[in-house]
Amino acid sequence: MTPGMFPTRQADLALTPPRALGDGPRDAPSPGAAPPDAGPADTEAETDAVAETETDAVAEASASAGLEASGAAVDDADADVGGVLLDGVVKRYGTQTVLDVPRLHIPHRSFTVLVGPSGCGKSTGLRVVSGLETPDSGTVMINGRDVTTTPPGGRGVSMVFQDFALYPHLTVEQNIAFSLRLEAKHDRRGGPSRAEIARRVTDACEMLGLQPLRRRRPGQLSGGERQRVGVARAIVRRPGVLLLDEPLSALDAQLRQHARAELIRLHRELGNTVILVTHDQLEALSMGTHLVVMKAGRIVQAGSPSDVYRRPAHTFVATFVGSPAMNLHHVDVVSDAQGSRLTAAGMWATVPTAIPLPRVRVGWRPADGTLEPFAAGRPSEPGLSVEGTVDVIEFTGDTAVVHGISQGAAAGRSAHDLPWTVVIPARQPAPAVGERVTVRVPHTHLHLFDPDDGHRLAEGAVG
Amino acid sequence: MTIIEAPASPTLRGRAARRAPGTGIRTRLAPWAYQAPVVLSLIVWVYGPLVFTAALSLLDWNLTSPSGSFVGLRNYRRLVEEPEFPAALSRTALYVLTMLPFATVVPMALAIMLWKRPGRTSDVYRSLLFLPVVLAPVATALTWRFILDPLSGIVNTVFGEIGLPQRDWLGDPSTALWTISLITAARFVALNMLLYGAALAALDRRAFDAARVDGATEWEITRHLVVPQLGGTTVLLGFLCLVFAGQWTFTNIAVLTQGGPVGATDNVYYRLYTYAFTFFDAGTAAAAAVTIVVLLTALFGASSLLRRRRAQS
Repeated sequence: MTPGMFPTRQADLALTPPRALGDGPRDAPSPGAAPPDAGPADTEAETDAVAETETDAVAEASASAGLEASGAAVDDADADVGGVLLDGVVKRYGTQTVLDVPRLHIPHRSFTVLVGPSGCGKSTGLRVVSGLETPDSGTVMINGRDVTTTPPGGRGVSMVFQDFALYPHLTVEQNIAFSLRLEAKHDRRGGPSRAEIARRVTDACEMLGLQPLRRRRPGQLSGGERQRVGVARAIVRRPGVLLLDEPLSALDAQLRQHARAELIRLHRELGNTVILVTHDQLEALSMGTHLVVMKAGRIVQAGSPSDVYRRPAHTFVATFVGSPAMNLHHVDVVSDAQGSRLTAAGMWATVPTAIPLPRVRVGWRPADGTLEPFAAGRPSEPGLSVEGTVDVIEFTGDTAVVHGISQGAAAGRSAHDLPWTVVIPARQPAPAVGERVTVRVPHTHLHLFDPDDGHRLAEGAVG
Repeated sequence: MTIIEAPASPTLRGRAARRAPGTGIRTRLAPWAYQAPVVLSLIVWVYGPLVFTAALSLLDWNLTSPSGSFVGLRNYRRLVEEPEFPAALSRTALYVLTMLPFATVVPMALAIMLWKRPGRTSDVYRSLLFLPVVLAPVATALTWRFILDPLSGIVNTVFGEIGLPQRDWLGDPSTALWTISLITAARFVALNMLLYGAALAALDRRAFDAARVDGATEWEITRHLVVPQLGGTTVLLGFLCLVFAGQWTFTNIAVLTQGGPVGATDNVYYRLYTYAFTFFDAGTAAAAAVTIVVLLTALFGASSLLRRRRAQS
């Protein structure tokens, strides 16, 4: 019995079970409760579904064409053996568990992004895949081969490091040729010949525009040039899996955007599996075909970027992915046959489903809210309304970010300020600071989370 | 406001100009004042004596009479014609050659081994190795005399037990120079090891991770990444050995062999000392000193010329 592939919708049930509304209010299904019949056939279908979601996500989330192409590559025939699989991998430093991954499959030829705040174990995960760290327990498979105890050089992976970690005493071309020269030395017959090394180094240099810099040393290069040497050094080996450890964080903002596009293009040209680690949620959303959100050594959610963005499995994901962060409010719930009414200070909402919890957290994306002039009274159609006062307006070019505060005491609860954020198109007339406004969010754009453990409540209330 | 302020600003600017650097007599003298202590002590302790020594090398003076007599280059001729000084010169070169590995390769290997296995054990080991560096030189030399005593010394006792040849290590002309070299080397191996340790600590360990992913074995990382990056330290320590080998051996020669047996451990520094304080021939001693300075300067000039030429190509 093969459990789910890349934890797409179904498998991610196993990792972070969203609570079915019909179930008992507090008893979460155990993580092991993945559907036992999720065989390869199901998985294939799942993967297809992801690829499709991706395609329409491309239109909406304005992702680049590269995503589309690599999304399709997931359908590859050997998808069920290829890629990287972490199975029961645990890594501890002393008594602290820094990585605990029950199961993660990174599909063949995908561009998978591991994202999370610093210290969440994403870099450790990458180092476990590279072989620089050996897990305390569990198995690492790369393209169907168990490499748990294989040294880094024998895994068919290469890596670009955060600060590029170039060999400072070697020239650009010596840096790039280093691995090939070693390969030739280790395997005199099967290794690359001198002519082949020269050709492949030239290819890599041409691909990354390094030809004029071949004889320079790392100390004589700019940050962007060093980054390109780091990438060239990694791809010259034609790795099955390319690992990128925050390769853009050492670059300045302008260069970073350029390098982001170059890496996506590179992935499309090389067609290998790429795993990128970043703490930048924008980078994560824009670059990957697959996204893995991590926190405190564990995977919180894995799926396509659009899926993670639209259906965050946990309040942590909801606030970490997407900028400005999702608005989250604790609300009281009253359910009847027509649906549920959610209320909090200065806020109420109706959803057409029954919610079996007395309290929930309701979330909405700043871009899903519309600002209206203040109007007392409750609207008839389902959805959420928030009353509040405009506090700060940030103009960002195409859009304006309106920060507001709702005040008021909910029944029996102490009064406190409740901040929220709405993104409006900059062309739309902005409210004045201090103005009273009402924010409306359609009920299809509301996200409901368990108020205690933060897990997403299952669908029904949400589109 | 602006109208009232406007006339005030030139005055401010004028005051600022008066304070600007490089205009007042005080500010022009300041750099010299700051340099004076160093310049003066260099003149008093280095360049003054150098000139004085050069002048002295042209005199015949026994250190006690009120003044010496001018003899031109006779002292230099004596150095070249008598066999002791050229012999001491070649033995000095021999000292340098035997100690060079202990100044470079040996401490480098030790430093790399300790660096690869950090922990309490290597800290203890490092301290033990460092102990000879801080011990008083003459005391150490005297201790070596006991250790190397041909009859009751621990070296010969142990060698006898395990069937190795027993010798009079310091009394036998064929072993004396090597023995002095080795016990001198024991003093600075640990010091150089620490200097290599500092250079190693400055290396970027992430580049070694990169090499591991590139498929390098630990030995290849050492061979292709670590050792080449220690090149600067190696050149420095090698050069220090070249310059100071003669001086470092001096204490051991003076305490243990006085240049013997039959001149086997004599080097130019001990020879110079012998000329001055055994034969009370200050002129010849000064001539020897000048010769050493000239030779070292020539060596230094040649090596920096070589390095510059290599950097150009």
